[in-house]
Amino acid sequence: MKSRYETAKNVFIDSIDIDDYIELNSSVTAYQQLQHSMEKPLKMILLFGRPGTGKSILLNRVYEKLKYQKEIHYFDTPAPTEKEFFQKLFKVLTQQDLPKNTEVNFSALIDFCKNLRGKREIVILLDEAQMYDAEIMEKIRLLSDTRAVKFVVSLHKTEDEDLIAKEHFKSRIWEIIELKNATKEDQSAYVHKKLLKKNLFEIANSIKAKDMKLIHQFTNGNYRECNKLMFTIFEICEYYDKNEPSKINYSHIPQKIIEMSALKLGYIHV
Amino acid sequence: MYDIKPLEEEWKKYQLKKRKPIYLVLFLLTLLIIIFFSVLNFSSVNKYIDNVNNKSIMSKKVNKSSLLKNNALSRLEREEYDKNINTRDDLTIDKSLDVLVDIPILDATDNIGTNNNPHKKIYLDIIETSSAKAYEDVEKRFKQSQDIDDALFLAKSYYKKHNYEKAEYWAYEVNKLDANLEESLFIFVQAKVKLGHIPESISILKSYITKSNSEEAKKLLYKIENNK
Repeated sequence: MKSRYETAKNVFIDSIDIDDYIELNSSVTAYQQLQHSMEKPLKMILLFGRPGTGKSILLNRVYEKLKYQKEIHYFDTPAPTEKEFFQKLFKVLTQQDLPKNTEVNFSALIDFCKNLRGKREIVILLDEAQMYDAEIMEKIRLLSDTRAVKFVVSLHKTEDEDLIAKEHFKSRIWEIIELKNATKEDQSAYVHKKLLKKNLFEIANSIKAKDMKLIHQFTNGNYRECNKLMFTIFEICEYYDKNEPSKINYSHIPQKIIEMSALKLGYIHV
Repeated sequence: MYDIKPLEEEWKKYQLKKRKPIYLVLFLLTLLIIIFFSVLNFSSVNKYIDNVNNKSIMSKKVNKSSLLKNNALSRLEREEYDKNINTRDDLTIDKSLDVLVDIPILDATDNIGTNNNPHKKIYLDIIETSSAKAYEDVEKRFKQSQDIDDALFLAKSYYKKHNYEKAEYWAYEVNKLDANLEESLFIFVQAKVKLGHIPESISILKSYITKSNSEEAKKLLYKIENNK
């Protein structure tokens, strides 16, 4: 027999699937801010934040919402080489495949973009931009200077600060949107809404405010870490439900299980 | 199947680690409480023992009352203490008979006339110091407690220190509290002798011998009369 916790566990598999998008106060604000910035005559927008703060899912959400209204393209994975990146870009801009055994002439591409000004308004969402090297980023900047292509660049905020953000784009980016870790309330709403979306009302109800406080403490409000922790919690619950039902309380998630999950994921140590 | 057992073990260790400071604080608190109550109980027990000791000493003294049916010093007037009479230095007493010369202040084997009457408390109180401050403390304490042991201790100590006026005074204080205590009577008489009140001393002793027929008193009288 399938455990009730199995479904709950799968709710927290980390993905950027638009169906998994949860509308929270903070995410709605970020979405509106991004949309508003895209409507301005900006050349580049920087979406900034620590890993797991919801940058990718926000870009995906923007893409899905606007793809029928705007000429918008989502580059979710960075191209491994400069050549491949410009091949991809060429296709987006020219709406044609690059002929085989040819390479993109960057100067020609710039000229092409200049000709597009006033005719088309292209938005390119670049996820994981910290993986692009400085040379590509400089070329992206030159393309954005044509004002025919608008780039939304999403990158991680790292400990030593991003060279890309600091050096290459600081003077040129017109808007920076920073995503932060969730507050306790936001994270609580996130977990509950995610479960309710799958009609897991009883399980959602079994996670009390005290449990959420602990979960927030362990994950620092990071959505990705929260997903990992919730997945592990329900994984352990599922085990007990199947093998040792006496050890599980269906009315609330025992603190023991939350701590065991935190131990397993290395948030706490013996 | 999920391997949960090692994780459970790890969690138990984590709980232990997490609660360590709480256990430590609880342990320290318990220790403090135990120490506090031990100290409290110890002082209570000490007080109790002191009370019991005092009672037994008093009862022993009461038993000895057959020796002194009447208060031998009851006739002594307090004014005698204030009389200024020169000390008689030439008065010597046979050491083998003199029960006062060797009054051991810190010696628990003191047997002068009170073989069964150890003044343990006095020795305990004073054993760490012989300074004047210690005597003052005992005097102050006596004013509050009226403890006969304190007065007797002072009488003996002052006698040994050749402060005969004070020895006489404290022997008299003892006598006021317990008229049957032969020891205090001897200190009183000996102090008087040292202060030159020989006829008076003889009179007191004779009066006492009449009542008690004490051999020790007779020996002391003999010594005083013969100026030994």
